[in-house]
Amino acid sequence: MAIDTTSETVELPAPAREAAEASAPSTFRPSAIGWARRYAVAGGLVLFVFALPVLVPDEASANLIALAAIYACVALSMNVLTGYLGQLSLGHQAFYGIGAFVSATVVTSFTLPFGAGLVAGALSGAVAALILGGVALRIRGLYLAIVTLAYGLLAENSLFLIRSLTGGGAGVVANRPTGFTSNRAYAYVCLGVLALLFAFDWRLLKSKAGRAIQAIRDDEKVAASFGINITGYKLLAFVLSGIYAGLAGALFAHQLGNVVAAPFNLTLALTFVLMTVVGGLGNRVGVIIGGAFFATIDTILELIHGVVIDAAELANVELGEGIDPVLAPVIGAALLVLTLIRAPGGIGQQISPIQNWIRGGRFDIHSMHDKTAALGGAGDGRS
Amino acid sequence: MAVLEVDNLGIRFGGLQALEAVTFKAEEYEIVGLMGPNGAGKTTAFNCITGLYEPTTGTVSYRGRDVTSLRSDQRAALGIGRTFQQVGLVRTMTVLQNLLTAQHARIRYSAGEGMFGAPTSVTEERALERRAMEVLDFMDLTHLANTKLAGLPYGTLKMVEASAVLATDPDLLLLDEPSAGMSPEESHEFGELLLDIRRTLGVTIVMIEHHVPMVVGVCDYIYVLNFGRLLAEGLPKDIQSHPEVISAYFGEEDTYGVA
Amino acid sequence: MDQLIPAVLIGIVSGSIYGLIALGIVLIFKTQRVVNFAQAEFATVGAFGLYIFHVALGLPYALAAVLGVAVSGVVAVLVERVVVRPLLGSRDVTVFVATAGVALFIVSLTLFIGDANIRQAQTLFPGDPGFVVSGLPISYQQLMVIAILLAVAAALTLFFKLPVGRALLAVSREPFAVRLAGISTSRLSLLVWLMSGLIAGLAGVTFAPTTQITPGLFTQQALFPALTGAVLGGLTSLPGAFLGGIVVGIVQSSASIYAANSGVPGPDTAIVFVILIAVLFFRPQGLLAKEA
Repeated sequence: MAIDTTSETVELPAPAREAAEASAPSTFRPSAIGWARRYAVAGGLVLFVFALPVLVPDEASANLIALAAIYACVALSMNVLTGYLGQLSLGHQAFYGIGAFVSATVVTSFTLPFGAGLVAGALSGAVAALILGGVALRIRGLYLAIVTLAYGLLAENSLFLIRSLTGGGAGVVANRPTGFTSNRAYAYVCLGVLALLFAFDWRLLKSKAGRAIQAIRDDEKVAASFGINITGYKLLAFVLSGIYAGLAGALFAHQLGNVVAAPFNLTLALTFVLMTVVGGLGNRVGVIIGGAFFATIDTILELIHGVVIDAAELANVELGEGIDPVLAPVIGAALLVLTLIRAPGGIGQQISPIQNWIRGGRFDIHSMHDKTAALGGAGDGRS
Repeated sequence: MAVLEVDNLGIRFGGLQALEAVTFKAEEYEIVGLMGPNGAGKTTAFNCITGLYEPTTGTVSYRGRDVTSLRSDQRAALGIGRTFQQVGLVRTMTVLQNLLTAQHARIRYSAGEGMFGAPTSVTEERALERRAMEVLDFMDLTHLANTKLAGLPYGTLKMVEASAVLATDPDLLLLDEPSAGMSPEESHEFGELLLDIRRTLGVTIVMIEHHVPMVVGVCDYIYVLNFGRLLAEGLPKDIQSHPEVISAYFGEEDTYGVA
Repeated sequence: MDQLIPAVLIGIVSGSIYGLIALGIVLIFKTQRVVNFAQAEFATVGAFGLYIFHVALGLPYALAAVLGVAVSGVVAVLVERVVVRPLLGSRDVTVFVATAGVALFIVSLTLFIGDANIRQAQTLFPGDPGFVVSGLPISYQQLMVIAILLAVAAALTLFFKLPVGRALLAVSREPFAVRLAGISTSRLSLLVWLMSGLIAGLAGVTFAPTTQITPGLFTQQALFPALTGAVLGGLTSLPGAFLGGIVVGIVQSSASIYAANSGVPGPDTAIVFVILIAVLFFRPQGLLAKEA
């Protein structure tokens, strides 16, 4: 009986250096001052993020902060499905768009308060995701990825064009809650929802549901042998992802003030995939940074563009048009491919030394090279 | 009443009859060995017992209850724990996280309570961690608690897997080639450990095993499968000298001592 | 019933495009187990090539068309070398995402180079009088699309009778054995992507003149039906991809015509979605697949 090393259950590369490092007991605990430093840095970062709407120069930039928070919520949603459960979603514009239209309708047509709109948006996202989850119980892997693509296109080309639901070209009005109509105030609403999702997502992963979902990603048979209900937790992951995305969509609707179908297209779905993969699948902070980055990249490019043009004028150089904002997706797609090939852990992998330090570890730049596979690591790729 | 009773088990894959009319049982606190050459249907039998496969004929009973129609996770929750030939662990997690995951069915808080961070879930999580560390201590693996699985040698992984399945708090333990990849000394120690596990935790064990010294040293009773059928059964000393077993099993197998 | 003939005819024309793109998808999947999300966008590249070489640079039509097809081939080869090769061995979904990135990259690059202007390429037939069937005008260019699909199918059938073609099929069945036999899988992979690129280029160059050329044209209009056609045919069957594409085309155009007044928008997407789900649920191996 030889050992079958070409197993399907486990496929563990064994880089010698990592093994040596790993087996060293991790007994390090920071001192009181060490903890104080860590809390100060973590607190400072949180404070900085929450000060952003006030720090930015104008209302337009505050709106951008709101959009960044909304995209970060979508990134968390993608992360539940693609990062934790390991299922690629190419149809997230469906949940996002449904959340947006439902919230707008609830607030405008039913004249219910903003909070009810958010809840309705979240629930409708959950229902939309649950339907797709039902399909996912039968179909897996690459085929399921194709189905998610189809699902998104169906929403985009059929559902969102139903005049009575989405108001056709005129769209649906979605007012902001009273007291939060300014961009700065609304940015705080978005950041608040993001903070809630962040905390929820953190507890999710620290409790049995999060562990169960990740176990299913790695190996369904093993998960079942631990007593994990595969069907139930798969559907739960879809529902949670739908709730996050539906909430984000609702926030987006009221940020715009008037929702139309046009933005919820395939390009948006691909952007969601890009920002999550580049952010680092499975890494909560990483995907949030990824989402914020992709929400703001256009404006950042315009800013750079402006600076370059100004500098060129000062230096009396003829530059032509400089950097075009249309370049944003080009950069995004290039980043995606680069991430997949060179750094599958994405931004999350790059910031992991800081994260480990804040959590009470030593600052170890090598943890950056700890390879975490993109798209959920293991699992049956060929199904 | 036997802990495990497999009655007239049969399963077909397409044209292949992988198991046919297989009947065996394991009594309380027994260690039962399941032997047979490659492809004899041993792992297939495990998969039928744990619910990964749906048998075409026959029943699987656990403590007198027919569990044939239960899902895999439901059987695990009843107390049927198993290991896999190719290491049944969650490979992207650390050793400790694996043991926490393995305790899934024992967790008293609901999924919702966990996600919303209910106080009960927080205290329960601490208890889970304590229990996981106890198991690791029992298996002498405490130093690996926060280690990721990637990079651990195969033998260590098998030990971690055994810890994980112990953490599920099984009443019936199915071990699929637990000593594969271990040296003779290690597998001898593992045999001692199994006896220790039975003594301290009071579990019933069924194991697929090829190390003859280990099987003979540890098992109370042995069943031998060949081509999906039960070839022989008996006490270890009888099986060793059983002529059919020798020709079917030892005869055609390789000669490097692990047959 | 008077609408049936036009529905079928339009369906065959658009289905030919789906079939051509599906052929490329299947060709790559068969040999590498990679689904190429960018396959449809390779066709847009060919269409843009035709436009740029003929309209913008004033080259003769035939030369521009050949160059357009060639550009598609070159892009496909580049994608194989730069993106797919380093990722071989990762999960199939990872490569799928990477090629989705490629598609987005190409769309934005074409947007960047030539903004969102609508372009119209000339057809091969000056004036293209075409003819009328059951009240539906059919242009010669549209017939060309069907002819090209048939020609490509015939050429592929011949190709797989050649030693190179047989080697390719062998790779799809036993990659390891082929490596042992000393055949360069790297070169075969390059060949497969080149072929898929050229087929997509042909689709782009012939279909483009019947519509307006915009960035992302084929990804928007043809990728999903082509993927469904490929899945319908079994993902590993070339004749399956060919027929699957045409079937999807006919069903889609029938749905558009018959459901035009039903008030449901996008019946063509909805019906393709139904086909996809039905195939995956009830016959996941597709209609014509011989190998899993």
